[in-house]
Amino acid sequence: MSPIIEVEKLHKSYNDKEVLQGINFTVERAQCFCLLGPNGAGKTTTLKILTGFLHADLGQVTVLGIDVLKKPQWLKGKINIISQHPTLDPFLTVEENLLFYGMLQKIRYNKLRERINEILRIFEIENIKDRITFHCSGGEQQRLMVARAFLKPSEAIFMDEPTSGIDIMMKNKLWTYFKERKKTGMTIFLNTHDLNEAEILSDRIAFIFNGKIVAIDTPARLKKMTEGVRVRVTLEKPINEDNMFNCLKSLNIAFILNENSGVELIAKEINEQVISTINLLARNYKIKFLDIQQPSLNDVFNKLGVQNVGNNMA
Amino acid sequence: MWAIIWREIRLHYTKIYWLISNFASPLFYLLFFGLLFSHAIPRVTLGNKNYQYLHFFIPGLIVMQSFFVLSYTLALVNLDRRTRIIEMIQSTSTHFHEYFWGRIAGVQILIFIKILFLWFVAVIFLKFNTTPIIYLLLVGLTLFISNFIWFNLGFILGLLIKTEDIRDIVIQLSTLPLTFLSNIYYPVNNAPGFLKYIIVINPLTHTTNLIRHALLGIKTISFSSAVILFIYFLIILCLTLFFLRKWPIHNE
Repeated sequence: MSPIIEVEKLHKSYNDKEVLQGINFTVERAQCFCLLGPNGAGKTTTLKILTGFLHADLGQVTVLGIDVLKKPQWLKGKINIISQHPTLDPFLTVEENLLFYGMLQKIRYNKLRERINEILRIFEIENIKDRITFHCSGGEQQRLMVARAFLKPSEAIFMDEPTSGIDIMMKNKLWTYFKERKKTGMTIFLNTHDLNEAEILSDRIAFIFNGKIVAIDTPARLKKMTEGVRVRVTLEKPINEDNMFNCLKSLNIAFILNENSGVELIAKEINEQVISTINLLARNYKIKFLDIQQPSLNDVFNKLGVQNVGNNMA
Repeated sequence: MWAIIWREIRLHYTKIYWLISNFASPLFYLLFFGLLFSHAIPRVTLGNKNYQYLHFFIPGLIVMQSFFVLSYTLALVNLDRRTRIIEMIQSTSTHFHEYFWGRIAGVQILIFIKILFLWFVAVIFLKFNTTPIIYLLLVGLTLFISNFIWFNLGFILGLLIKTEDIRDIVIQLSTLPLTFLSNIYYPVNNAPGFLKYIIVINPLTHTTNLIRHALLGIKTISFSSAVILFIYFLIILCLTLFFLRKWPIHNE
């Protein structure tokens, strides 16, 4: 089966600044693909080109089999978009905004009314349905934007920071809903800075820095790019570097001594070596506190940031 | 297109503040300008007849409602652009051309309702004479063309203007000079020097001429005004068609 989104050697410049420097990626059906990167890295520019709202200078973009750079108008109505900024009519009510969008998408009136009732319930905005959108909070407006995007069924959805400004309880509910939609065959293209969101939703993540994709893989494989597990051990009595070195030399494990009798062990994974080290420290120095920190996307982000942008990223 | 018309009507006829502003503003103009000027200019001679100032003013007030389409369209299209509603519409199954035609249809409906209201007020309270049906058709056609001209101009400017301050400046600079340099409020036969030329090229002068003659039942309908207004209509139509073709889905 051919991919839903195919991007090849995509270039885009604004004035003299090259914001996309030949990026490539593909997204398969029913996959969530996430573009992660700092502000100004080229995430929104990529999304705008993919959805037909911006010209590219060079390259090839195919979405749902449509050559977006040549025939952007063919994509109209076939995809749904949640943009970074609210695109709601401030003078209409929440329900009227849904009705207006449904009419723009040419959904039949009876079907539309049914779907609106369903959407109001799913996204828990029934209680504010008669409120003028202008009077809704930022989070409520964002929730309405997300709800609206799911009014019309589509094969692919493009989301630009969809849950920004939404409280964590609702975020969790939305993430569950997005995952359910993915199971029904919907392809999700996600732009976010929220590493937690990226990790929960994405099947593949691409890290973009200065218009270049510097890493692209599954979240689990990306995490293996980091130094690995960090085990923080706080001892009851202080230990100096020589003692520590003597104690651990046979085990050949990397460590950092911290202030306040702390030792940080660094290993790719929790293996026998790590367990032996912890046992040794427990026998000789008594352990007060033990904390195991798994590698996170934040570590990957910082590592790639330092490599590609400089120390100010970390 | 129905979605756009629905939204236009929904906003204007279900929201109380829009409703008040739609129907109260022409009445305020009638009350304040009408009373003020009728003291200064009690009677006006047109053709061979003398008319009360208020009867002279009513057609001008109707033309003014049509002229306000410019500022109204400019402001709302500009708001749609700045709130990215146009961008959102472009992503849906609705074409940009439908947005244009939907808005123009909505505006025509709204203005005709507003003008009919004003007409009834004038007939009932000011004893304004009803004119033969053929003249009313001429009034309708002239208003349709006038609304079209001002709507298109407002639409194009609304899309091109990027900031609120420039939008406000354009509205201020167009509204006051164009209304006062026309025959909406007073006769302009004896206008001084270069102002006369501005009055002659001002489409409001010609729209007012046509509507005033038709509503007051003056048999000599100004043919030159009809021709000039039609030329404006053709110019604006060409400009709009060119603009609609050029305004792409890629709008940045």
